[in-house]
This record gives sequence, structure tokens and C-alpha cells, in this order.
Amino acid sequence: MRITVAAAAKALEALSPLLETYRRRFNLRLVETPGEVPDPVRQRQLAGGADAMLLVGSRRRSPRTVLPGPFLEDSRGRRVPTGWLPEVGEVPLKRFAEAAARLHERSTNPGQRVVAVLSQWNPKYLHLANRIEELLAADPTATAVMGWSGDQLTRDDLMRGLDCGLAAAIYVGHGRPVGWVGYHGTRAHHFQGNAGHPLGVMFSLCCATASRKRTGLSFSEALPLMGRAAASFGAVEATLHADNTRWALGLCQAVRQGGQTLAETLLLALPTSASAIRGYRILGDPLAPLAAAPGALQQAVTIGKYDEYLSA
Amino acid sequence: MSTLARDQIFSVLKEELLAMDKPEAAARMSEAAHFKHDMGLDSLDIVEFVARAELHYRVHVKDEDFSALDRVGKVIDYVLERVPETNA
Repeated sequence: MRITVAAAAKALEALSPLLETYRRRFNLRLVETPGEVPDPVRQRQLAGGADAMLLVGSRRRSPRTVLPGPFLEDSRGRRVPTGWLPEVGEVPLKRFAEAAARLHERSTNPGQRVVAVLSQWNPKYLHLANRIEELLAADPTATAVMGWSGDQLTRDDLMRGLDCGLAAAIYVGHGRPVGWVGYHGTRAHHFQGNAGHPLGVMFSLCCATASRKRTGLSFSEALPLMGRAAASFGAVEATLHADNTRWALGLCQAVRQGGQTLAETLLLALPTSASAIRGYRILGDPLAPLAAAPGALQQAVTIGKYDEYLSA
Repeated sequence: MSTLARDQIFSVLKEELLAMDKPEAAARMSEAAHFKHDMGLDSLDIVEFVARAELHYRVHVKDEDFSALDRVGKVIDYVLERVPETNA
């Protein structure tokens, strides 16, 4: 596996915990990019020969304008999953790098894969979430599924759940640049103070969570920079429910086919709709493993739900 | 368009319905069957069904065409128009 990391020298230094892990596990190519983010032509050149790429650059650039989608196409037309992170300072980048490195360490001795399915409390989305749960749970030995939709638990309990070291979480519902509409409004700051195990990948299959419209930093960018997930996957614009459903079904299929990393999973899940692909971005580590922490399942099943409170 | 190709696509779509765990809908499936009224599929089921057809045949159903695909026969026509017969 070959990964290219392109960033300014200072950012590369902050990313060192992850770069050391990359060096041990993959064929790592470092490219120093002083000044502006590489233009599209240079990006395609950098992606050439790589299986994945991480691009870090000026915080003035938004996910929508810096990359054309979750993939760059190299000169041979090969799709290279590419993650973006804005250079917001040494501490957030280091936090991200440490969390992502933990995920890679975790993947060498993972617990059972645990995936949480999250949904806004709305019949349309609950229906889709139920279907995602059914599809993922078809092989319970491979994947344990936590159904944590908005009608079942509070935001506080959800935060505790997402702290258990899950392999991934998939949210469906309405989204905004600042976060999810579900769980009475979920913003990046709700993840603050949680110091448990980072999540592998947060998939927000909804509108705009990677958009910078009227926000300094989008929700999908903030999660990896807070060290709460090794990567997140979110949209930079309004999305169609049909496209999000296509992604959801594809992701379920990819997880069942054994996708081990975010990059692998996205390539397996790829919808046929160009608009569905174009609207999304990878934020953070494109090679984030979908691996759960040992003991994640045991912890996750203790998360309280409304009906359990009522029957207690 | 040969009957064989239509039959093949019909069989594939029926298998996809069974993979969606919709045996009753599969039993009621015919080319003329309406997804909602005859086969009892809801809007999410229809999106999933069409998405599965897209993935199987690597065709993309445009958003403006989506609502017109309300019967099995129309999905078969859509696939046949976009996939060379030999691949269907």
C-alpha cells in the first residue's frame, strides 16, 4: 500500500505520530508543499502511483474547493482516495495524528467490528437506518451493529457510545455545515471532553456537514481535528436522499465484503451516480482502518436507551 | 430486443428483490407490476431496488428519470436502453 502525504514542513512535524505509523505499515511518500495548496494538475501528479493521499493545507481553503471529490484521478484514470485537513495549528493536527495512529495500532489486534447506525428521529430516516442495520447485521459474526437512532437514546448517551472505540458510525438524517439536525442538534462541541477511544470513521450521509457555509470549520473537518475519529466522510453541498441511500447501501455491501480501510470501503461502495460521488469528501486519514477497540462491543451494549430507562 | 435479454434482466431483478428479503414482492413480480400498488414496495424499497439494478448493470438512473420508473418493465427497458444486449 502506497500513501502520499502532502503538507507544509510544520504540519508534517505535527503529523509525525501518524507518519511514523505509515512508515512502519505502508510505503510512505512525503511531499513538502510550502505556501498554497497544490493546484488540481499538481494534485493529480502527486496522486500518481499512490493508493491513497492525505493533503493538508491552508485553513482558508474549504473541502469543497480544495478537492474535486473523495477521489483524485491519476493520469491513468485510477481513483485515488484523498483526504483533506486544514492546517489549523499544531495541537489539532497532532491530536488527529495521534488518534489516527491509535486506529492503525488497533487494527493489528482488533476486537469484533462494531458499527453504530445513527439517525434523526424522523420516519423516513428511521426507516433507512433500520434497513442499514438489517443489511449490516446479516453476518453478525463479522459485524456487531448498534442501533442508536434519535428515537432511542439521548445525545449524551450517544456521545458516550461514540467514545467506546467503534469501527465506524453511519448517520442518516438532515445535516448542516455545523452538524447534524438529529439528537436535538449535534455540533462538534458536543464531542468535546470525551477522552475515550477514537472512532474509526464517521460517515455523515446527509447534506453539508463538510461545507464551510457560515462556519469557520465544518463539522466533518472538526471531528478528526478533535481526535474523535481517524476520518470522517461528509458532503460539501445539499445531497439527494436517493444518493445518500445509494451510498448507504453501497457501504453496507462494502462492509460485508470485508472492506478494511476507509479507502477500500469507499471504492467498494462506489455508487454509479457521479453527483453522489462529487458531493462528498474524505476528511482525515483515507487509510483509517474500520477496526474496533478490544472491548468496544462490551462497552457499547451498556449504553442506555429510553426504553431501558423506562423499564428500570 | 430479444426476449432472452428481458427474461435475464427480469430474473436478475427478482434475485435482487429476494436479496432485499422481499419474497412476497418477488412472488407478485411481473413486468406490468407497479412497485407500490402491486408489489407493496415503499419509497425506500424502490430506491434500494433501483440502486441494486444500477450496481448490477453499472448504469446510472438520472434523478429526473427516477420517478418514472414505477414498474418492473420500465426498469428493464431502462437497463436495455443503456446496456449492450450481450452484457445484459
